[in-house]
Amino acid sequence: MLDIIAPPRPGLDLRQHYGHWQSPAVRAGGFVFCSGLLPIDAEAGERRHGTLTEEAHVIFANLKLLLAAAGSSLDHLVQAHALIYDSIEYDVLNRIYRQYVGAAPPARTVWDARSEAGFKVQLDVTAAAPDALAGNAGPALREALAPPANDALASAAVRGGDFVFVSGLTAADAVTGGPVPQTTAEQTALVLDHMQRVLKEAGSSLRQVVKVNVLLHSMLEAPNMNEVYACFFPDPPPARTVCGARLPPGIKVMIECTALGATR
Amino acid sequence: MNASRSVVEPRNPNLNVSRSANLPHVPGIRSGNYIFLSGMGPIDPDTGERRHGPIGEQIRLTLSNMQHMLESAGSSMDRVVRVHVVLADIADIAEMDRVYRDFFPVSPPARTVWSMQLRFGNGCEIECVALAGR
Repeated sequence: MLDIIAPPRPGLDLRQHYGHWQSPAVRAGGFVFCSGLLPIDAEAGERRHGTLTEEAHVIFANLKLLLAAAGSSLDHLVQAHALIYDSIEYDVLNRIYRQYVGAAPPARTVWDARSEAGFKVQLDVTAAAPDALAGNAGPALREALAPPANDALASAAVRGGDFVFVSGLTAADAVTGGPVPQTTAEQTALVLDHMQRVLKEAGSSLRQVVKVNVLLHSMLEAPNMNEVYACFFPDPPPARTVCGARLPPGIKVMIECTALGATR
Repeated sequence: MNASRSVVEPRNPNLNVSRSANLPHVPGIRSGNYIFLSGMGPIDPDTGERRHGPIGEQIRLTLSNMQHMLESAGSSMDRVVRVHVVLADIADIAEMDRVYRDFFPVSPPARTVWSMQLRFGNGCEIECVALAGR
């Protein structure tokens, strides 16, 4: 069953205000999939441009309303994508972010991207819908697994329903403190090796991965990443999307995934 | 129903880009109740080649390929729950929306749109999560 979640406040109807052909959120199969959250005034529908801090506060306020309308909450987030206009504000994002996610934060990937109307930040999230998952006896409702990786505001993996959501991992997560190798190929190997460990700890494995997102510092490096990538995944490999993004200094590749959890 | 993981293949082999370009991913995975499709660009279904016309045409082509992919997997556009639209240029958002709405005439899915560097000079890359079944 697929439930369209109506705008919880009149201002959050982006279809009406801006002609965006999207529903605020859709609940299906035990999860709530939210449309990209933007700093829009919940009552008036006005765009609330500001500093990244100001925009992020508005976004989280809207997210709370939306998740409540879908029978979920910030504590049930399983995966968050934070798209910021410039990674120079990464620490600013974190300062706000930690005020809203609890001690067991969702899996998270942050990258540089342009959002509509020149907004500084956009949040793309998936949450568990407790009601829908409650009848589903086996797996934990939502459980943050593995100690946080390099990104202290993310769990390396979060289990929700039948799935395990893994944060965007980089070579810096794999070699904590040590020097990071230079080539995209070497970094891909380190990241996937680390991902394998994270999945194992979560009771899953690379064989059970269903979807991967790869962020590359340059799309010209895709063949170098692919060559190593192919060695780690079974045949047939998972579904995947590859994009180019500005990554932290020295980081050539960042990889996140969604996998099936342990077989019961 | 959990722990199943099967590949989604398009009926039209021209749209199996990962196979024709020998890339280490599949067009989509069906897993439990969900179908996860890989990011797709504007591929001509008759030739399997990229087609880089105006952005509106690229969006239409990509979404009609997505429709084909979902229908090949026994799902459909009205089972889509969340779409990610990645554009090469965020300024194309209005033109994208104009075409996009034809594919989801009622109750459109959740969606996030942004722009970043794409492969092969594509103007768009679109991926989705859908419910399996009809």
